[in-house]
Amino acid sequence: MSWSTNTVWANRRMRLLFHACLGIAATVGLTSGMCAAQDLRAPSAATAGENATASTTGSGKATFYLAGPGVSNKSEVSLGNEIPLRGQDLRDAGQYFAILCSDSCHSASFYVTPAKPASLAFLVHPSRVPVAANDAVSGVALAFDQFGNLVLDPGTIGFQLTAGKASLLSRAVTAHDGIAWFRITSGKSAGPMQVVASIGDLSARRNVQEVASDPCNLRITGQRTKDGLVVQTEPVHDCAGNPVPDGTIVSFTATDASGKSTVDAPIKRGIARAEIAASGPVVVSVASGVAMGNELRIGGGQ
Amino acid sequence: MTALTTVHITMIPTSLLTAMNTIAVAMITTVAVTVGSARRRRVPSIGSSIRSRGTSRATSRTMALLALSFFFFCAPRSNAAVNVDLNVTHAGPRTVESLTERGILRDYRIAWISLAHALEFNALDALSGPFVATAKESLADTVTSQRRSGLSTRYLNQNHKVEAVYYAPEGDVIELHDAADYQLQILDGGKLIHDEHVVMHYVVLMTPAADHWVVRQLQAVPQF
Repeated sequence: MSWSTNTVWANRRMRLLFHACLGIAATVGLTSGMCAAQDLRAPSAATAGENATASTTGSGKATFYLAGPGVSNKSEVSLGNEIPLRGQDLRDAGQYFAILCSDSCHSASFYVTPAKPASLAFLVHPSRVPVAANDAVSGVALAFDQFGNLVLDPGTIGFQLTAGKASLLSRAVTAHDGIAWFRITSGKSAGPMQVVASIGDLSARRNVQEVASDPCNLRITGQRTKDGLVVQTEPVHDCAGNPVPDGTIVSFTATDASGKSTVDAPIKRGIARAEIAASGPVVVSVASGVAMGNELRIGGGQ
Repeated sequence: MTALTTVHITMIPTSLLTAMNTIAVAMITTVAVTVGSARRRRVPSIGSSIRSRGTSRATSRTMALLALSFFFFCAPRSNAAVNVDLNVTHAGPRTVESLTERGILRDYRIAWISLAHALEFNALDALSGPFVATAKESLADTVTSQRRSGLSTRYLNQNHKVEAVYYAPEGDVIELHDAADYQLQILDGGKLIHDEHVVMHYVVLMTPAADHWVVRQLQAVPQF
């Protein structure tokens, strides 16, 4: 028999092949139809760490897979029974896929939501802050359940800031997308600031050290000595009256007939002191950071 | 034409691509050895015809080019098939700096490449750089569990539309919402048991490490 026919389907051999293909397709279709009867139903809602069940219909044996965050299990199950999903396999919040395979595979997905808040992550910045600094202290709080899942809707998180006995802030902030935050100006007194975030029975505490700001109202006094002159500041404070910490540098500048000379001196016990070699009439000025102090004029005769 | 080629490549199973890649590497090695030995042989045969040397060199070069093309064609597609779009315009209270934006885009993409690699080949090492804390523990548990049960998961043709929704005042944490779609394939040994194009929503927390951003939380949610 020749293959040179007008159409391919006119050929008898090809017709047989076509019918065979149709038969195979029909068999496959029927088989899939039978398998479709095996239904898998995932849990409608599940909470992290809690047991749940998936249900099946049909009869016989099948392979059940549970794939999700932190888990990828495979087990043999009997169709028609409920399949227990252990809480320890559902610890991580997220989307899970339940897959049932016998002749063919069927799947269903479900979400596991976080459990109730069990811990607070609380980030506070900075650890040291000058007093009266605008928007200088900020805190971010995130609630997590006992399995480390981010609780996206924990409700309101309370923030309390106290310095000594004074309350700087007491605010309840509704968390958005699992995050609540605040930002405030630092207090007026140097010393430790307590920052507390709380939700229900949970709380997290952080400390921020408030330190004096830049010196304010620098005042100097001086006197002539045999070799020059000695100048010193009055106790150095910031504008809120907090003593400026020792070690802060104060610059003394002396101007006389021979020119200008500068001496840097650290504050010790609240006072900065410097000896300047100068003769004749001298004008001494003082500065620390951006703060300027008074000018001191010392005549040549003293 | 390019699109057709891309589709064609993505239809090839990764295991086959890896095997082809290995063959390509072997070809490159063979060519290198051949060229090296030819050069060594050339010293005593200075008097041989220029034509034959030229032909041999051309053949080697052609083979090398072919091998290199084959190598790049077969390079792991997970690297190329992760598209990330990042929008930071709605982030606050701090504005995301352009350098930070680039860093996050780069590191989030790397994280998904690593995740896909780790879960396809059950390789824990891939998780070490881009993931920390809960995200790393969860993925490591998945890999360990997959190894035990003989499963693997493929994340193919990933597209991530990422929006930064929160950037802390001090820049120490950023929250992203990722509307991702990809082809999810779950395999039991070599048998494909699940193949689905999925649209997922992820809430992501990233924090800065020494010189890059790391994923601290990667949590799928039904919707934003």
